[in-house]
Amino acid sequence: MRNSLALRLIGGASIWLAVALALSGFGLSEVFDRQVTATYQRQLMQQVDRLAAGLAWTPGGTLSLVAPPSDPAYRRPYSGRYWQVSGESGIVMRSDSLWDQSLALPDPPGPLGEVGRHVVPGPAGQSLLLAERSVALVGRDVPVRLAVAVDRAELATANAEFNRLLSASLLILGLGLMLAVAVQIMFGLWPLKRLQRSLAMLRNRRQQRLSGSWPVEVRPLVDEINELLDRDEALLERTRRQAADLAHGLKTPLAVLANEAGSGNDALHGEVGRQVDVMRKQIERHLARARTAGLTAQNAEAVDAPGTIRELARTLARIHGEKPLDFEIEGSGRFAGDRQDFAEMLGNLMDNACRWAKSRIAVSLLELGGRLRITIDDDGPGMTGEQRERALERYGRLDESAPGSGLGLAIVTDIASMYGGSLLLDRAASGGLRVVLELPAPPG
Amino acid sequence: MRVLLVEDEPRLSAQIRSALEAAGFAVDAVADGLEAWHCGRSEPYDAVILDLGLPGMDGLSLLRRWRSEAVAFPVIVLTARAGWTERVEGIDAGADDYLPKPFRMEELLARVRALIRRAHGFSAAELVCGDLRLDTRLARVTLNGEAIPLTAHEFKILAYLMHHPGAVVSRTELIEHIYAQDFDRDSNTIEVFIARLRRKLGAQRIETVRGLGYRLFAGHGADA
Repeated sequence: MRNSLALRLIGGASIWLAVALALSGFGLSEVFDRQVTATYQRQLMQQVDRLAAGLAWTPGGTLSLVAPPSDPAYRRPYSGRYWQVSGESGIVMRSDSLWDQSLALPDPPGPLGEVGRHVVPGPAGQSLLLAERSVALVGRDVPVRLAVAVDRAELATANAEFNRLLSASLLILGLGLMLAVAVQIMFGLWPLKRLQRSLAMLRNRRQQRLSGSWPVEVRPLVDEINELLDRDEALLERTRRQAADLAHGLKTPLAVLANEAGSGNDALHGEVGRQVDVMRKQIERHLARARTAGLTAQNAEAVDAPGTIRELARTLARIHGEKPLDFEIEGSGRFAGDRQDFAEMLGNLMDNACRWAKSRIAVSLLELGGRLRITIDDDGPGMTGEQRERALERYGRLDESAPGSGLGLAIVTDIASMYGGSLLLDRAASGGLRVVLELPAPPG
Repeated sequence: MRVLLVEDEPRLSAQIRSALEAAGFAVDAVADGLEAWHCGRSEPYDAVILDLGLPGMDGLSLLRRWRSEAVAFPVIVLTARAGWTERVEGIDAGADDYLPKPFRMEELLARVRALIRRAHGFSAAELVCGDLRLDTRLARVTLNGEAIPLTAHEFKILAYLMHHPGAVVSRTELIEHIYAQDFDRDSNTIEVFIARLRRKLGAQRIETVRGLGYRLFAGHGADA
């Protein structure tokens, strides 16, 4: 509950909905109860009036009821509906339903003509709602007290019926409201869902920044994320620049040292030369690592692999101008990552191929199932299985005399592994070396 | 062969200069990009060694400027920034080769020699002119397989002529390519060197074209 905004909102909404519905149910029930009581009292008063209208003094001084109330309930014993007429000397007339019981009227009677409403105990343990009035009939100046009563159980039944209906409809209303609340919350939280998807796309490097329009509540978050991405990019750029500056700063003195070491043949010169070479390799490799952008949200580039390879081939043909080199580039594919990293890997591998090839270097590309496979064949002397194994070992060097060899492969392996890629050495059909580099390709 | 060395680190510049001179090159060394630009426009160098990080004007801009002005000498770029994107950029700017720092001096010399040969259409390290052979790596000259001892200046003149077989090379051209800028040039010394070469290689080997200059007698197999 605590970890879901939607559940929190639904939980909160259900609590206040329950309280509101319960309160309104209680209130409605109360109002209805009062309404029912008022209605019954009005009915009772009408009955009293009708009773009064039907009563008359006979010339003999007795009361006669010309038209007794017609409701059959007044004839069924203890039916719950009763009337009673009483004079000075006691009960004069009563409904059959009262049987031998009487309605307990409070004493003393109210002033003439005034309506009295009471709740009194009735026959068979009933609780009665009673209306009474003392009237003076034409003919004699003696007040007659008329009373009509109804069993309160009748009211209770009506109330219960209403309450049942009320709670059923309130329950349905509550469920409907909850559904509406849930839909509204889903709708309201939709931008968060979108944000989540956008972030996933950032991670998968399908987009570089969070774009599009966002609600004002989410926009600060989006802006903040974009700013972070920018800062990250700037930081990466600065690190790369610093790495390059460090390279420049260190390599020139190293060149001086190396040349100085090369100018003599004694043990010191030799040792300095060797150590300078070790330093050069360490710097080269770690700078290559520092320069590597690797998997970041900013380099969501889809690098056009054949384009970069052709550029490198042109450069290598110039650098290895001594040899007539023939580059064959076939297939196509894209690399999901930084262009510079890609150039670094392919440059090293193709340079290696150029160094050993007699005349032909074949690069073939295949993009399949989110992977880019690049195969580089040369027609040089190739390597034995053991040599291939050693060449891929960390800091392994195959040929101490060939400048730069070994290091290139180590750098390529480093960069490739940052992308979750792999490097394999094999035998080319021509007998030369085959290098297979596998890298991630952009989705879709 | 005359080389322009553009490097702002004085110690490294001195090292390269002495190595080049020991290998028989005439060297003009400058440390400033703008100065290098002027030198490149006015002097006919056979090769340029160019460091990229320079005061005045950075190496790549300098290179692009030269190339846009149709200055065609081969350029080898010397740099600490050895990423492949930078190499592609350097080559696209008009460099002919790219040597990352630190480097071995022999490597630099080999590449400079190779560049000069390539610029003249040779691909092997050995220049051949009939029975005369000149090995650019070893600075060795043989005639009919017999080694001919030459002084540094004699070698420089012969090497230049062998890079231009059959062509008439003027005395000024020879001076420009054999001496560094700050050298006290005396055109008469060229005649002295030519005379010595004729003595060692045979008088008919170098022909004097009156009023124009000298031509290396291109025997069979001299055209490459």
